Amino acid sequence: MEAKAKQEVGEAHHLPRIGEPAPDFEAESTFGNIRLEDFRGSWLIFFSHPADFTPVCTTEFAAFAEIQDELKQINVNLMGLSVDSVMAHIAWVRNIEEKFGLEIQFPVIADSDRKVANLYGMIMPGESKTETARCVFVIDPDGILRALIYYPMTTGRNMQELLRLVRALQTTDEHTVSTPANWQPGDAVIVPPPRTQELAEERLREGYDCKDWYFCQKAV
Amino acid sequence: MACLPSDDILGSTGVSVLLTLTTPTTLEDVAQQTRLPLFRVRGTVRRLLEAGLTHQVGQMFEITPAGIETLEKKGREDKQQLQL
Repeated sequence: MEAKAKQEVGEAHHLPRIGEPAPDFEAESTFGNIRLEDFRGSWLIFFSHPADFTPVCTTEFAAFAEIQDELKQINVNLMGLSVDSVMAHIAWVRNIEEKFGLEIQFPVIADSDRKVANLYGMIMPGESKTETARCVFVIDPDGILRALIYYPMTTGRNMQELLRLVRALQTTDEHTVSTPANWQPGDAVIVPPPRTQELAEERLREGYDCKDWYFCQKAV
Repeated sequence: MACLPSDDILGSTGVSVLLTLTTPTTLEDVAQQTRLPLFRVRGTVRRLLEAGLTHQVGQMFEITPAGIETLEKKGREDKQQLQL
């Protein structure tokens, strides 16, 4: 019975999850063969798009190009992926430069055999069995997957949200805090709640801006 | 895959990386000298290693005689191009 169920849904494949090491790979890209481990020591926004020479993807690449310098300043690299060939990627990147005046300074993986796409669960068969969806994997300098975002093919991503997300993760790492809803750099952050009654009593005397013992904020 | 294999591993990035390896150098120093992102230096040096144009000693990398020869050949070709 169990075996039959497994057969029906196909072999279970463990997809990457938050807090786990991002699966390593080597793949052909517009910068030559590239390995995930090449990015160790810096943050990485690894994203997939459905196809080259399509309008929504083109707006996204232009938008990524517009924030690439800002990302570099906060030690974040970008890397794209789709199932198109490296020749198609090169032609498209050159086209974006020509038509939009924006230089794509990040590598784009040519995942024709869908090896990396399957490893990361980038294909959503309910939407398309062949193209990758608009996935984003935020990977930290130690190679740990810190955030995942999935968008459907119809909806372009928001670069300001990606910037906000990475900055929030960096702030969390730097100050051991959490960030509230709609947080922006410069806003107050959340102090981790106390885990004992004694610490809860003490928390209110620690000089934070507290609504109650479990809800305290501070500036960083 | 292209119908013809590419043998051009020494683009301008490869040349600028090789030029920094005339003395043993770490990848971090190569990145600083070339102003390339570290991930790009790692990938480029890996390809240069595979092609035998550089070799590794501990954490340092240095150009090989084959690397020097390739640079010289490329220099001659570039000069010829300029003269044409």
